[in-house]
Amino acid sequence: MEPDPISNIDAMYREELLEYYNHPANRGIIEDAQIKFSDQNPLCGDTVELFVKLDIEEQKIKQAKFQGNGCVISMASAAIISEYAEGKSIDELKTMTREDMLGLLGLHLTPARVKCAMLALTALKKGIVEYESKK
Amino acid sequence: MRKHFAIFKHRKGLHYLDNAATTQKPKVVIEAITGYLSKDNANTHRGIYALSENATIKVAEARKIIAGFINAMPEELIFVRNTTEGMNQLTNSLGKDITDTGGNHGNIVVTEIEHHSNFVPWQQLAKSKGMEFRVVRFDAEKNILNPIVDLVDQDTRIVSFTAMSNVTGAILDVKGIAKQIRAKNPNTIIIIDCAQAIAHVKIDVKDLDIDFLSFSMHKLYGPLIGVVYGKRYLLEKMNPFFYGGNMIHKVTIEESTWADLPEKFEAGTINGPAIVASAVAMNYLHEIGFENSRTVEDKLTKYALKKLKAIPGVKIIGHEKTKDPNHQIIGYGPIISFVVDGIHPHDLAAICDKDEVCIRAGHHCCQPFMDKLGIAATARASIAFYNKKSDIDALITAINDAINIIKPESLASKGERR
Repeated sequence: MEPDPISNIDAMYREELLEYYNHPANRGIIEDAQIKFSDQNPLCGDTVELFVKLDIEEQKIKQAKFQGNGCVISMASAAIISEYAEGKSIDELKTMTREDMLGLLGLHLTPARVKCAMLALTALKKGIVEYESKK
Repeated sequence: MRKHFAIFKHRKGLHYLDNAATTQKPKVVIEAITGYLSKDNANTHRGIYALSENATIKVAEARKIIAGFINAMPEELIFVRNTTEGMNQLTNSLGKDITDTGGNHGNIVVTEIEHHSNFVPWQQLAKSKGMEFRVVRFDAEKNILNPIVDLVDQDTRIVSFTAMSNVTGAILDVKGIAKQIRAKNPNTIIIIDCAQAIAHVKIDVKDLDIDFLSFSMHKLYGPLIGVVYGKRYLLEKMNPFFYGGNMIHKVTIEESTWADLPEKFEAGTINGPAIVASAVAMNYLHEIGFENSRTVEDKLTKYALKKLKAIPGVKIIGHEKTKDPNHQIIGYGPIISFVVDGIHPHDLAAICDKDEVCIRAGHHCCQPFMDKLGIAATARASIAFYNKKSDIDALITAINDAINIIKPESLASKGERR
């Protein structure tokens, strides 16, 4: 059974996610990033910009950073995905699903908040598409 | 008064503070809908039989009551889906009459604080017609609006502005502004977005001397149905909103002519039960007393403002006591937008929900206004006469909870971390 979204509040605002929100390790910009993409959630105006530096030979992510403005879910997701991306291959990230992202967050979310959780991953995937189309 | 609303019986712990989005419905309104559907249901204007004639009469009587609420004539009232549809239909219909007068299509004036539904239609019309789209600016430092009339000139075709901001609750001096616009350009069409004002400001279309307005009954304790008012002589020369049944006078293969007002604008079967229940909602508010309702709302708004201001890190948008030197904003209704330092409005609303405190969080469909304020979103509490002090207290508790849960750095650094 899906957990009741209201009782889910405690999971949503647990220490681990708040730590990502208040002290995001990967917040910042990468000047010489090959992938740079900003996106926003039209529902709430949350914004996120992702920077990815690639190991071109290996087609792997060397470093990922983000900056943006938003709720705990969207900002923690951005911090988590930028951390998770490091060392992963482009192909691995391209095929990540909504379930994968929610799995990383450890949350069941209502449809409105899923959009917050997906903001950074969507931006990352759009950024990869843009990068590959330019190659 | 709370006992008039069934929802508070079914949800005893509910603290409903999202009245600017939609109000709760009194039992009499719900009963009017079920009553119509169970006893009076028939298609209006169509049948020769008594049941249909009775439904037609009921709808006509309701139209009279709704028109009376804003001091309009019944034939000046058009039922639409909601305020948004009303604004779009006005844009489309008036747009058809905007023609080239010697290479000058003129301009349209709106304000920066408009809801998207009174902003985007005009922006798009201006684009499609090659007109100038003029936006009256808001001063975010002083929380004042530049004078609307300053952007009006001889080429202004339409001015459309809100009577009350859905973000800050700011109430505009519609009458004064309309008078200034008329003095500068008597040919300008003046349109008012009354979506928020209808529940909190007495609207008298004759006294305000405006050309069109739109509002929706669901923000006035009624069902989801929209109303467009238009001055009779303007409606008579305007294009219909839709074509179809009920709105024609005669149709031949070559040509069609239109029915009289208001049928000309109401193609297809109209929403009988919603119209009848809307009149009941207005009668209900009349019994409660519009002034009484305002007094309760004002009192609760003052109480909420005082409590909110006492929380460290809370910033309220608007609600200044200082007078607007431009005389555009003449007061504030029971809508309070605020931000809490370091806490995103979405998180605040989610934590409020834990205690069944319903508030709105987001840009409130006012992105240009948000851009001017320099924020992405606000939290918004909006009050109705059935709210109680305990609803406000629950909100305050929830905000403090949110601060304790999220412990934003910005508050901690000020030594206000709890």
